[in-house]
Amino acid sequence: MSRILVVGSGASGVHFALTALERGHEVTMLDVAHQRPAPVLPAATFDQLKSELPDPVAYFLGEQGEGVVYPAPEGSYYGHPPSKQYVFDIPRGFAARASAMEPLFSFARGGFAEAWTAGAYAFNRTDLQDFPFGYEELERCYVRVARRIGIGAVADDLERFIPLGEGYLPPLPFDPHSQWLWDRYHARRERLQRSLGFYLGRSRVATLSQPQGDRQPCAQLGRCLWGCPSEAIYTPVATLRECLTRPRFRYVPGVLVRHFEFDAAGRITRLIARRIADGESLEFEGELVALAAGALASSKIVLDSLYRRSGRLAVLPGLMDNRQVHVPFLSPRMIGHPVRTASYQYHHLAIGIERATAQDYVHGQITTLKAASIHPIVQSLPLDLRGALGLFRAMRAGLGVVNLNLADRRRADSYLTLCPLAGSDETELQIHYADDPSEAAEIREAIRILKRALSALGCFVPPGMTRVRPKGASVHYAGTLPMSPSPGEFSCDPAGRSHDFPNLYIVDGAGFPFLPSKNLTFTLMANATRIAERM
Amino acid sequence: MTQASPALEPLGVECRVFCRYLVAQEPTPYVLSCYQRARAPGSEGAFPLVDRAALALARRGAGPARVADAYSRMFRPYGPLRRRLILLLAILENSPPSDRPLNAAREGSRPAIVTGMVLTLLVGGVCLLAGMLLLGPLHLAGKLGGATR
Repeated sequence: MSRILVVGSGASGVHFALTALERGHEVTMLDVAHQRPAPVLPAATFDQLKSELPDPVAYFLGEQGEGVVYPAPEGSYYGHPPSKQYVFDIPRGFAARASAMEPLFSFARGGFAEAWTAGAYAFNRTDLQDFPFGYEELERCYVRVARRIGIGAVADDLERFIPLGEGYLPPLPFDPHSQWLWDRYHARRERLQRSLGFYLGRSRVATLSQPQGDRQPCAQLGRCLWGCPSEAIYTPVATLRECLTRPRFRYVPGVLVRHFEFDAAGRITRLIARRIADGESLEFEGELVALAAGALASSKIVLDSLYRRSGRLAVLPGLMDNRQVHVPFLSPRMIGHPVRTASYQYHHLAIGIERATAQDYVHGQITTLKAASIHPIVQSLPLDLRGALGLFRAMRAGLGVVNLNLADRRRADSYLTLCPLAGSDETELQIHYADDPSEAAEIREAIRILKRALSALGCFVPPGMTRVRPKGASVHYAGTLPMSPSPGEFSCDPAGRSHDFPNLYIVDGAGFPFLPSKNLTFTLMANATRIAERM
Repeated sequence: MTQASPALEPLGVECRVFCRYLVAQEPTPYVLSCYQRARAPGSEGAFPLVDRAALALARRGAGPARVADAYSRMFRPYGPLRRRLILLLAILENSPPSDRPLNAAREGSRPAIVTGMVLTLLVGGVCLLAGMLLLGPLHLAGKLGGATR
């Protein structure tokens, strides 16, 4: 039995902690823990909120309208609602600056997954070929995590790319537009697969279709983006609650871990943190330390620790993030149909596009438009707002968006380092991202294939509305302290143990040596579970 | 729900006109109060001539507002008029009773809906032409003279 300090309560941290507790270890979790507000009117639908809340505009847009999405050159079709602002708030004492990237940070209780869209896709052998362990080692952890969190999935054409193990729930029922796309695909699937390498299947989503523990199944309220009041959409807070029932678990919210101190052999002797409320410095001791603060924040802790001991401004190369592309489309055959806003708001369908090399597989999710903030969409139409509103309402039942993700690889010119801030003992995390020179051609080709596939399904992609999102938008950061079979500076072994600091474990995305196009959150949880099992 | 503040009446007048333009309704006191308390970033301060002209035209009524908006969508998409209209649209889509019609899909016969879409595009084109005639010369003059009076 070891005494373990875990930094962060996100997807990696809670599954690492729960597995370690199940194996008899003593766990102390340190967390900034910005808290989710209590859900308002938990039984109300999206439409009912607007008529039943005393101030619906403050809820949906914020007191000063800070949730309004204004036109911008790289504008988005949606914004983070004020009810999710806590996910992205940065505490005092944490500074970062980025070039060629727009990173987000989360210090929320539950981390970024408080705002995820629940896509839970297992990596396959190809995705893991650069990882220093085999698929078999991760497979049982996927099963374990799937049973913990509840994932809806069925066997379909995407099984070719996404392994489907045990422990899955039945998926949620389709909305009419998703059902129509599904039917159209099945009438044309052989041609789409053969000529375009295009595959469509059900999204694997961590959203309950049946009760599980204290979580209720999806009540079809249309409030996914603003925060599911029944917790049908899994968030790490559910696993944190389970940890809190264990006698060997201690949760310390309200602290920002800044760095660690280590001895001549590199063994960490204590963690140094700052209490958010009053700025007081705190120290924590444990036999083992697990960094699970997210790739960027965990890396900053390592960099700060080196800097404070030796004055060295180290460089961590290999920062990765999935490039995201939003491709809106219209299914003209759906025009004239009603739209039910009280329904599951996120994606029911996922797509896969085969590329020249298996690692370059392009993954996407199709979200048909149900409940939504309409002003970001209406303003993007090339018409005055009155006319755009008329067009939008006419097209609404047939609108959808494909969110494409592209794989990323570690490169030396995408890296993290530190810059000391003048006049204080603080440092700033500096994030340098350089685009892969071949990426633009990959994006163009993926969009071309997708447009042809959508056209074959009877859908139309309006010209000029496809948006390549800035790096950082996917929030899939990884690769700065990678797992490696051979010892090397700023890397960790296949069990997640640092080669530099023998009692330090990297349990979040910083340890990934490759970033496939599939959403990484499910693998973060499974890998953290695997590391805790091997410890 | 809070009530509109009489001290901010010029904004209230603007809100009424823009509301008639966007949803063909008078704003409720709640919508008025929300429009007054929120501030669209970049929608206040000293603007170039064309933005001042677009705002002045839009405040004259629902028809002129559509003309000014059509021009702004194409030639001043990040300007103050678009920002104020988008702010109001965001408020209206979240406020009863305008939320339901704004969030609803048009149902019924597909040919009729498609015909309506074509007509909407035609009207939009006419508004854009009118906007180019009314605001285009001012825009050009402002650019040539660097005028930001």
